Amino acid sequence: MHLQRDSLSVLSDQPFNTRLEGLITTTEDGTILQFNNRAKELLALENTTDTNKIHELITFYTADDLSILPPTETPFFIALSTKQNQNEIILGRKEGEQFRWYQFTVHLIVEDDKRGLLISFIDVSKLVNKNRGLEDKQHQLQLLVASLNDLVFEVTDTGVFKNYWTNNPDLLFYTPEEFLNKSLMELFPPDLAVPAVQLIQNSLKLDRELKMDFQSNLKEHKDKWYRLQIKPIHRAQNRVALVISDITKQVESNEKSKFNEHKFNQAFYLSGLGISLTSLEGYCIESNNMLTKILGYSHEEMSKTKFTERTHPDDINKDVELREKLVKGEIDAFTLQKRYLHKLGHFVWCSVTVAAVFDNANTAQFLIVQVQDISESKKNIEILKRQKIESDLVKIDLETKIRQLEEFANILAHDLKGPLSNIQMLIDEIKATNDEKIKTDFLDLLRISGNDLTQTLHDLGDILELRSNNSLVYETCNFLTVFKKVQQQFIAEIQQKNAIISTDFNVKDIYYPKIYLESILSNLISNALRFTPSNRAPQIEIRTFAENDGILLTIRDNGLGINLPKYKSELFMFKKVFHRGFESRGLGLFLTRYQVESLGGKIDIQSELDEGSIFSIKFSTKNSPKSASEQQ
Amino acid sequence: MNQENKRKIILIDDNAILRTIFGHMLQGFSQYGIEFHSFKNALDALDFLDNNDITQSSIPPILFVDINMPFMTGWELMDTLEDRTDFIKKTKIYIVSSSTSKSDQEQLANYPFISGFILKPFGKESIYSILKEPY
Repeated sequence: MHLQRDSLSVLSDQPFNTRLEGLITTTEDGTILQFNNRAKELLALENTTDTNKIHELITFYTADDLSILPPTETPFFIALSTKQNQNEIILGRKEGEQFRWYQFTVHLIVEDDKRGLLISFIDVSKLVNKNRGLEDKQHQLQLLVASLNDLVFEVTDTGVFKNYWTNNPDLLFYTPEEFLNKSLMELFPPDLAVPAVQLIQNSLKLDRELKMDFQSNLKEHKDKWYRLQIKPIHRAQNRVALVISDITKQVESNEKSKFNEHKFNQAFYLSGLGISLTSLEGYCIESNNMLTKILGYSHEEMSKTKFTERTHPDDINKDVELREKLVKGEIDAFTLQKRYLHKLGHFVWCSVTVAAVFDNANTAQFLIVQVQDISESKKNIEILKRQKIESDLVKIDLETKIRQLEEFANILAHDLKGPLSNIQMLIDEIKATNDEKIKTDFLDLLRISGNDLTQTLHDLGDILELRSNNSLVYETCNFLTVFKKVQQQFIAEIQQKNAIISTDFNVKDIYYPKIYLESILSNLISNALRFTPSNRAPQIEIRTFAENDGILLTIRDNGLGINLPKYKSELFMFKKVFHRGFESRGLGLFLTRYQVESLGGKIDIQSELDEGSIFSIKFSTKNSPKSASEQQ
Repeated sequence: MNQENKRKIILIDDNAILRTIFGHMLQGFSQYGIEFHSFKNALDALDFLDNNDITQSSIPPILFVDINMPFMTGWELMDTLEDRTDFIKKTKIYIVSSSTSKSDQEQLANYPFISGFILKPFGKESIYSILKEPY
């Protein structure tokens, strides 16, 4: 504190205040003694603060990382504490949000026995800021280089390497010392170097970016693919940037996609399926020969018309609906069977599989349509179906016939054996007896047995005639007309028993052999009239209904009814009788069942003892002309 | 009382001629007195049996039963009689049928109380040998 403000004569010089550099003198503890106008201006010093120590008065920042420099690390403090001059130290000061940069030179001064500092400084803000900008750019460049897997070289027009940038020095063909300032021609074999130099010169001449791909034949990079890109550097004459990129993966994936494309082309053009790429509007973009073979249209014809014009009218809606779902992404693919209109005018049954191709934005681009001609198998299926129906009918017919044959065997066993054994026994007895009366009686019985046998054979003959009746005449029969005719046969019995017969023919007509229908109605009405208790008048209801695949005829009576659990299995059998005290040969229901079943129908019964019965007959309408036309 | 000593023989068969022949055959049997009843179906026969206790006699009665009859078959009659243990113990039962079917032969084994099977046609000798069997 001994140094006086005006004691350092250096600062008393006239130019002191006119110099471009800022000048400050301090005492040996750093307290500011004097400063010139420039210093005041640059550091915004106040006259009133002049007694403070410079390193404590102003907060300085380092240029390296913009951090605050502690006072003890300022060049001023260091100069004082180490007694060494400090040269060209750059420090910053904050002015608002901006930094100002100064280059300080600190000299120790001794005058008489007083020590102090002479600090001179200049404003280097412009330089430092520019430098910092460059550093930023360099940093960014480094980041950029780091982000690339490429090698970048600066090369002269003759192919001499001047500089390099790389993220991974291992990628270099040689160590930097080996290749810098050397020419491509010296470093690489001519088959690579010559075209590369050529490329450099062309690039410079054309002022254009050029590139070439090559496969390395160096051992270390065997089979690797590289791309050489040459770009003229505009700021430097006759210099280019040479960028080498490893494109092995790209090449491989290109190869792969080329292979895939080849595969697709093979599949597309040589496919056994007809394939087309179809626009969302339905026009054919691309198609193969097989499609032309199936549908008869050339590719050009299909590209000019929508597929809907080549589709059977009944199949359009379904197809269009499914394609819309595809385009919306609701389904991945669909397969449908549809009819295409062949160019020659007929329809072709095809199995069609359609899938959509989407772009990256998930927008459908086009549809891949695969068409398989299934008309042949359709035809075969139709034939098989028809054959199945036919064989089913034959099967039913055969089953019926087999059952009927079994019944015949039973009929033979029971109904013929009986009278036959009687005859045998009667003959034995007649032979053995001497009694003329008995002989006469037994001869009568013999005659009766013979008649029985004849009657049974006659009944069987009737049935056999039914069976062999192939020439049945089908015709449209009106239920009411047939009923009225049958009713006439029973008019006496109806009047005698006060019977009431009501009819309700919901189905009016049936295509059926008239004689069968008459016989069926006759048998059932006959039963309904006959098997009634003597104390109540028969009430008979006859009705017809339409059923799934046929016509139902029901005949309901209020008669004796039948003990179904007991007799149902025998009800429709040959020569079975179920009502004591009634004369019956047991043929009616047997014949009725025979007639119904032989034409594919069914007969059934519901009954309660003493309450009545409902006979229901289901007529199959398979043979009717109407259903025959439906089948076609 | 005379009636009581006659052997009761019942034929159930729907065939009228067979019933007549059978009756004639029995008339030719002279070893002991016979009381013959024939029925054209099993229901009529059951009606009779319900009203007449034929087992009271000292000589066991014999039932000849056809199989194939309306309303109630011979086998169904056997089902009914099966429960009448006292009756079947005191009665001999024969099946009379022209059936040679396997199922009928199998049925026979279900009714151990049946004494035998007579195949139609048969001669009077086969009936007589049954009547002559000791009882």
